[in-house]
Amino acid sequence: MDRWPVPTGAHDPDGEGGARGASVVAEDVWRAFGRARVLRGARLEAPPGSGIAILGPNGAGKSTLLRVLAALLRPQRGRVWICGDDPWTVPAARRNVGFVGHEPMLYGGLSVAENLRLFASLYGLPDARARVEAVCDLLGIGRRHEPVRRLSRGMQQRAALARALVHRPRVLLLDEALTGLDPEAAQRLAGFLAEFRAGGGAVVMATHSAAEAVRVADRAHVLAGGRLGEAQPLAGMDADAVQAWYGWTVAAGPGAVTPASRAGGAADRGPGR
Amino acid sequence: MNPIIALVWKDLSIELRTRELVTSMSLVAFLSLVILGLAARSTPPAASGITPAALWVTVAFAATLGLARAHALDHEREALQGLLLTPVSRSALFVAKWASNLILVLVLEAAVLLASTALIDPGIGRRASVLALPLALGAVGFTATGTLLGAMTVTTRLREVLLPILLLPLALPVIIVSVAAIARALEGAGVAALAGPLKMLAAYDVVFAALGVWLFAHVVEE
Repeated sequence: MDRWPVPTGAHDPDGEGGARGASVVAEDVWRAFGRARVLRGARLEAPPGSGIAILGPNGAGKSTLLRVLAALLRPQRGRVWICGDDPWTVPAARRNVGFVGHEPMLYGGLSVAENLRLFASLYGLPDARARVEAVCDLLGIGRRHEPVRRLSRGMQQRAALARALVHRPRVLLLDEALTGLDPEAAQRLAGFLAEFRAGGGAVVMATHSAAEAVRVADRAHVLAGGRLGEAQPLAGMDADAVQAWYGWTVAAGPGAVTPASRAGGAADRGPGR
Repeated sequence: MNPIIALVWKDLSIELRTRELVTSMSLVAFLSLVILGLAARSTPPAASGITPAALWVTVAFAATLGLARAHALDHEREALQGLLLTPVSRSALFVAKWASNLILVLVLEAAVLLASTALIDPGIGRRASVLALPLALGAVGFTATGTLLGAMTVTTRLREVLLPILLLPLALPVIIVSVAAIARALEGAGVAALAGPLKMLAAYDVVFAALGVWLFAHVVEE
């Protein structure tokens, strides 16, 4: 698979978030829906080239966190920085984000190519047609002239990824993006994400699968009860070890110090091992 | 391509392919006009008086149906969320949706004028050029209000019921003024004689367009 170009360049040198050079920074993010507090002071930092997995059970608030990072939901407290800018005050910062959610966020009545050309226009890309063809070729979207509503779930997921990539963002936010893909497509996507990170892009992926986390990320956070735990490096850990660490952290609460981190790293592989 | 033009193109392209909105709106409008036409013929003295109201009752109900569906299409597959990810301003998103809705309602009004000439009052066709002004200006305010309320109600379970409940009372001033202007036009008044009501309609349009541009971001982001 060819490498999809990730824009480079200096981040906002004066920006508070950009001073640290991170692609994504979330500082003390709180978000509630009615009386339900979904996020309680979440802190996260994704440097360029990093892959971060957000692990959590169903209903933990993973999608809400990603939507806050994508500037689809406004945090009620705290701030989010994308490449040094707050997307709520600097709309252009949204150009640096690609987001893939549970739904493709495309119009069913338009073809994949028409949808992508629409989004290319909205991102102000001068070479929309060429970009659309390139991203469809990269992701192996052959049926690009068929209406989205006629495509299979897996192909819609690829089209959603194409939408998230067409403007060449620096940050990819993926909400259970591998779910629903066949093993070959999931492998292909994981390969692409490795290439994306190697090119300097940052990936933040929400998942409840330890295997997906190992495949895509180099660090993981557990989100449970609205609290986002400290980052756990995944180097040297296999899916079973990550699953054990994840299970222990959910049971003990994300604020607890895990045996792995207390012992100085991943070598201990968490409790019970 | 300008983002607003791209968004309007998107809405019209989808509609040209599916003809979903125009078909459903036209069908409701036609049935409404048939019922009103039959009712008018059974009470001849009242027939001449109902024409202005018949035009707006038909347009209002058929357009409300279309507006609800137009916003529902934006929520299928969370397409609107995709638009909100882009750096395009929320005001531009409102203006584009409003323009698309306005084009559809203007097409509906043209069809209603034609059908009501045949079904209710042949005089409508002869005065169509003058009638078009209060109808079009009314459509501008009606769709501005409907676009904002459509975005507000589309995520609710009872959107098909909520939209007319909220929209029709809010659009009542525009409907009353437009109906009055249409009545005077049917009596033979020229454009100059309709200046007063047309100015009132324009003022309503400006107020609700400004409200829509201002409030749309709050409506779609939460």
